[in-house]
Amino acid sequence: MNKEAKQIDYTKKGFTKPKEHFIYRIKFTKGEEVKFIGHLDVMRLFQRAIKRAKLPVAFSQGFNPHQLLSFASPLTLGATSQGEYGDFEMAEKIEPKIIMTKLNETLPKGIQVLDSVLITKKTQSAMAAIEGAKYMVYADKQLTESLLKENLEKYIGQKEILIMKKTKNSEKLTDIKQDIFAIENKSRQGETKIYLYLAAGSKRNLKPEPVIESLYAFLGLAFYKYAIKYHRIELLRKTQEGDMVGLSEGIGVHDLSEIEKEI
Amino acid sequence: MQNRIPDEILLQVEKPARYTGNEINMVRKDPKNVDIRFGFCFPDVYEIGMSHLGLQILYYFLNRREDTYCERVFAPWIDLEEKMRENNIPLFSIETQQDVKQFDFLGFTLQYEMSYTNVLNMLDLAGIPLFAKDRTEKDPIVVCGGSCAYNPEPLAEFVDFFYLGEGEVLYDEILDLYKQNKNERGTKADFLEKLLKFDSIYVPKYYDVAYKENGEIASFTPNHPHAKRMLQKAVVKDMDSVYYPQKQLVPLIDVVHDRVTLELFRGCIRGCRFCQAGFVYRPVREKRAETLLEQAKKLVAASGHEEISLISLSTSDFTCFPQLANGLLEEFTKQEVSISLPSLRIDAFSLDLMEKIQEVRKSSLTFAPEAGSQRLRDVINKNLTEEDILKGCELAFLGGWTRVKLYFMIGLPTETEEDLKAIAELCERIVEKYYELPKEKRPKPVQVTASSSCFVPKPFTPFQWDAQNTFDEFLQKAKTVKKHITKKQLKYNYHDAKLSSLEGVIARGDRKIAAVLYRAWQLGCKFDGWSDLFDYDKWMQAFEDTGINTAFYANRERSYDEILPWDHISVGVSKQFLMQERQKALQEQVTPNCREQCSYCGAKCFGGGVCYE
Repeated sequence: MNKEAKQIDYTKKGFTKPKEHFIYRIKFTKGEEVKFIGHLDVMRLFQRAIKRAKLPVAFSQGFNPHQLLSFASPLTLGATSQGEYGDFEMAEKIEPKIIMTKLNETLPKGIQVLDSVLITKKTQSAMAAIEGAKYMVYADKQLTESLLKENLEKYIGQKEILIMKKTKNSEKLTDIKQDIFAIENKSRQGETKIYLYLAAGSKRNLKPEPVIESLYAFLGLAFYKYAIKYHRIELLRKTQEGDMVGLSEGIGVHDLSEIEKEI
Repeated sequence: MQNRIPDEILLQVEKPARYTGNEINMVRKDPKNVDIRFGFCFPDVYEIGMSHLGLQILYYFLNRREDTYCERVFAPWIDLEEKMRENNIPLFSIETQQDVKQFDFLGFTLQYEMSYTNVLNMLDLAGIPLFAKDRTEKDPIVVCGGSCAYNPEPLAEFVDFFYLGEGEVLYDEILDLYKQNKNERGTKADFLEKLLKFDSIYVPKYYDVAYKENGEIASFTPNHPHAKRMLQKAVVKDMDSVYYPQKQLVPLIDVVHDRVTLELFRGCIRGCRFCQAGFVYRPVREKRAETLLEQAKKLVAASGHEEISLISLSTSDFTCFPQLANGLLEEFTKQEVSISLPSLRIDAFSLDLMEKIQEVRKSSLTFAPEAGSQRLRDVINKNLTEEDILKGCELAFLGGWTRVKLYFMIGLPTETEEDLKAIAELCERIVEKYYELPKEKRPKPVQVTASSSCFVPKPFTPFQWDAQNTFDEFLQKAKTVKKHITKKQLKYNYHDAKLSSLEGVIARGDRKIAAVLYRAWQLGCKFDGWSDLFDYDKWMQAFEDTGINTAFYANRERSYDEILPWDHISVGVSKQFLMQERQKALQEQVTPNCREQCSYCGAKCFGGGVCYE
C-alpha cells in the first residue's frame, strides 16, 4: 500500500498531497477494570479519550474521516496487560510526554499510558514489528507449585509439543515447541504462576492458552479454560542486532529536543 | 472495585462488560458517606438502558446531591441470570457492585408495557418480595416513573409509590422528606403517608377499587383522609433553567444510542390522536438555542463523542431550529463531530440541512404517514397530506436519495378496506413519482419499504375508549395490504400482532392485571419485547390460569361514563377535550396544532410553555 501511495503524482488533478503527520507509539496497560472490553471497544475508547484530551490527532481523508490510530495486537477478552501498544498519528508535532499526560487524565481506570515516543515514518508499524510476547499465567488450584516444579522440565524437554490447531475448516496437529522461547515456574506463596515467552506476530504466532492447555494435558489435569488468568507483560520486536526488546524501546524520541541534537 | 460476578462466570456470558461499569463520567462515592442510596433500575439490558436520556438526566440530577448516591441497575441478560440463580448471586448495582436489597430506593423507569415482567424479575433477583404488601422495613422502597406510569394500575400491587411526571420537579423534596423521616425514626409506612401531600405522587395502597359484575370499575376511592382524589403530573415550567447534566455516561462497549443527546423541547404541538406522548407531555416547552449550544459544547468536551443527536418528538417544529443548526454546524464541523436529526419532517429546508449537516451516505429517508388515505389521516389528526409526502419524496429523489421508508399503522379506528388499499396505492404513487423524473436524475432503481405496526389504543389519547383489533383482524388486514402491493420496487413488512395484542391488554389494564403479570413471570416470561424470547403461549396460559379475559381489556369499546383505571390521574389534558377529539375523529375533522390555534386542551394549567407564547 505504502509503496503505491508514494508513486501518486500529486500535481495531477484530484490529488491533494497529504499533510505531514507525526506518529507516536503509545504503550499502555489494560487492567482488571477494563479486561472485559474488547479490541474494537478499546479503539473507540481511545478515540474518545483523544477527543476529550483535545490532542491534535490526524484524520483520514474522505467521506467519513476517522482518527488515524492503529493498534498492535488484540488481547484475549478477560486477560490483563502491561504491554499494549498503538501508533497514533498527530497532525501537529507535540511533546510525546504531553500525549501521555493528557491521555492519562481522561482514560478510564485500568488503562494507563506508560510510554510515548515520536517515531519516524520509516519505523515499522507496531503491528508489523511484533516478534514475541511475554505472559504471566495464573493457574487454577489443580496445578500446585510442587507439581509444576517437578514436571516443567519434562514438559519442555519433550521432543515435540503437539497441539490441535483449529482453523476455520480444519484441525491439524502442530508442533509448538519452537514457538516457546521460554517457560518458567514463577510460583510464589502458594500461587502457581507460569512465565511464558512465546513467538508472536504475523509470521509465527502462539497464544498462551494452547500452551497451558497442552501442559495440563501433559500433567493429566482437566483443563477448565475459564479458571485460568492471563496477563501480558510485554510485546517485543527484534532489533537489527537481533535482540528482543519492547515495541517502544530503542526507537524514536521521548523529547523533541533530542531531534535537534540529531541534526 | 471487585466485580460482583466472578471472572469465571463473566467469561462465559455474552458481553461481560455490561456488568462491570467503570464508564467515563461514572459517579464514584463512598456509600458510607451518603444518607440515601438510590438504585436507578432499567428493566432491560445495559445497551438499551444506557441509551435512555431519562437515565442520563436523573443519574446526575440525583448524584448532584451530596447525601445521595444514585447507582444504575440493569436486567441481567438470560445467560447471566441463569448463572446468578445457580450461584445465589442477587441483583447488584453497576457502580459499587453491591446487592441492591440494601438500598433505600429502587426506582424503575417504565418505558414500555412489555418490560413489566422484567420489573418483577429484577425484584425477585434482588431477593425482594414482589408484592408491596409483603415487603418489610428492611426492603427498599420501590418507586416507578416514566411514561407508562401514567396508567400505574397494572403494577399498583407491586409498587410502593408512582412518580407522575418529570423527575426534576419533586425528587429533591421527596428525598429531603425521606431523610427527615429516617432521622425522626419514622417507618416506611410513615414516609408513604407523608408522600400524600404531593399532587404528583400516587401511593396505590391508599386507594380502594371496587368492580361491577361485568368487570368494569364501580368505584375508585381514597381510603386515607390525605389521599388526593385527583392527582396531577409534575411539569418543568422553564426548560432553560432546569437542571441538565454537563456530562454524560460514556459506555465502554457498543450500546444502541451512543452519542451526545440534546433535548430540544418536551411535548409536541401536533396532537396526533393515536399518540400518547403527544398528550401526556403537554405543553410544549422549548429550550433556547443559546442554552442548547452551550450544553452541546460542554457535553462534547466531557464525553469525546463523535455525534450529537437532537432529540424531541418533532424536531422540525423547533422554533429556533435554523439558528441552532447553524450554530452547531459552525462549532462542530471542524471538530469532526457529526449531527443527527431524528424526527424530521421532510421538506426543502430539512433536506437542505441534511445535505449540510450529516455526512450521510444517502441511504434512506423515512416518512411516517401512519395511514394510507387522507380520510384516515384526518381521523388520526396526522396533518400530512399526500401532496406533502409526494413533494417530500420528489425533493429527496432530486437530492440523490433512492430509498424511502414509510411507516403505517393498521387497525386504526374507522379503518376500512379502502384505507388499507390506500397504503399500497400511496407507496405505488411514490414509485411512480420517481419514474416521472428525467432519466439522468435516476441513478439507481428506487426502493420503497413500507412497514405497518398494529395500533394499540393508549390511555390519555382520544382513542382510549376504542376497541383494539383482535389478533386475527390484524393478520387479515396485513394480508389485505400485501395483496394490493404489486410493484417490484415495493417491499412490505408488518409487525408481530401477538405482541401488540398483549401490549393492548396491559396498556389499558386495571389492578386485576397484576395477577396475570405475576403468573406470566412465574411461568418464565421476561424480556417480552425481545422477539426471540417473547412466548405468547405462556402469556395465554397466564390469562387462562388467572381467569382474565384479554378481550375485555383490548377489544372492547368503553362508554364515556365508564370509570377508566387511570381516571384519578390528570396529565393536564382534560377528559372532556379527549372526548371532543374523539368525536371530531369520527367526523374526520382535524384540529389545528398548538401554534396555529389553541384548542383549550387543559395543559395551560401548568403555567408555561407554548400556551403562553
